[in-house]
Amino acid sequence: MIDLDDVAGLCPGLHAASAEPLAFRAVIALQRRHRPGVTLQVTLGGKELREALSWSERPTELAQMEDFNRVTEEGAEALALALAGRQCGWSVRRRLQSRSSEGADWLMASGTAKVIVEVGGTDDGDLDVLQKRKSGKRERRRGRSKSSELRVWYASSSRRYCSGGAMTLDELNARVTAAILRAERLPEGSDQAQAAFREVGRIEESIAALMPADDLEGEIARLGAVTAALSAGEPLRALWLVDRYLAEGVSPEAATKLDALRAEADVKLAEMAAKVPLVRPIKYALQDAA
Amino acid sequence: MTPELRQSIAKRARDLQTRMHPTEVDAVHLAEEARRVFEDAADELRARWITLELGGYVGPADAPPLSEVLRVQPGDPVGSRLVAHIAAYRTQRGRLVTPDHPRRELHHFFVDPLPELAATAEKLAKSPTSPVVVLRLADAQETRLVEFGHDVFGRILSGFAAALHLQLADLIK
Repeated sequence: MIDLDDVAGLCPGLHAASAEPLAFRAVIALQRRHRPGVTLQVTLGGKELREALSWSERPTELAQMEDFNRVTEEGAEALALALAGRQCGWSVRRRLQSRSSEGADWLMASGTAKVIVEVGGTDDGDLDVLQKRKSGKRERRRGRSKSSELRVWYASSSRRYCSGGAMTLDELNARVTAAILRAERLPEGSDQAQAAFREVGRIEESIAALMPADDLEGEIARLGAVTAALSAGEPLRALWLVDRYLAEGVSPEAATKLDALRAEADVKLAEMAAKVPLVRPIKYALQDAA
Repeated sequence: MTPELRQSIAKRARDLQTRMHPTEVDAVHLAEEARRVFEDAADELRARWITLELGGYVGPADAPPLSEVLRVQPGDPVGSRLVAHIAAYRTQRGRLVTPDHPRRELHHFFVDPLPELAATAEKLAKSPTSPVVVLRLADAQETRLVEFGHDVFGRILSGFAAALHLQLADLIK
């Protein structure tokens, strides 16, 4: 049985700060049509499995405060992680940013190997349509750049100082997971979302400084730092990071992705250049009442 | 320029780039060092840019376009790229919060010298954390109160560092 109230036990490696909102959204999504105790039917490696789902019922009006698709997606992620933990023995390493994930949502560990997991959620009940849509997306992306769906690497462990305190890779992974989930729930392009992505970028850069460029987690962090800079509305920082990371000798696949992100940053800069303001001689003063 | 001088400038530019880090930016020091590199390279445009950065973009009251302030000729790709870079970090999005005025989004080009921006960034970093900072922007016609993210000055400084890194890369290409 998967108990969605037991956030600490949702999936090994998934911290409560991230697990709680995911489990909450799974409950909101499930309550659209189901009651606690409903059985989840799973096809895993060609085998049919059944898992009972339990939760404490939440007031239905809570659903109105949440974005419908976001709830569906995150609800699916909660259940997928719970299944991966229970049925496959995998544990969470970290979340990846949606816009850079290229068919990968979570990095998980299976023993010493690492596994990239993609999760899809739909409310229309047609899993075939969802799978076709997702694999179509992957094919189109493959046409642009070579990306592997599943890669296995070996874990490493080291420490570095971040914001004055020693942080392990595990701690940074937990922080970046929570930060990504928080940033992606905010309206795209809003001041709040941009600020939240700046925080994501800071953590990604810390992971990039900690992990070598030829390590999977180091590669994810480098791509994540550039992506976060773009989401934060900072194309110059994105270009700077691309230059730095290309000089570090990333894999050819990562270099291709960095080049694509550089092109995106150049487009954003061109858009900004088209709206260059006049240089008005207006100096600022801090407003004390702020 | 002799090959030796070109080589020496390229080395100094690369050294400067190597010492720049996205999370630790001493913008004023970087600017002063970069100005010497650009002057030695006889790169008038970029040297003028750094002079404006250190002294501020405050000039004539008739609000000229940025390309005019930098004296960039139409169709000059190097100059146009520099203008795009400067606009990207000196233009920041805020929200008009002047009492009795409708709240609306506003883009402000910060004309102030780097040392002043750096001093304000440092002051704000020491103050209690607040998600926003309100600035008074006054000209001869009116005074407006505009709300920005608390880290707006830090963003300008790190944007300047990013632009400098990219401009140095262009210089030694």
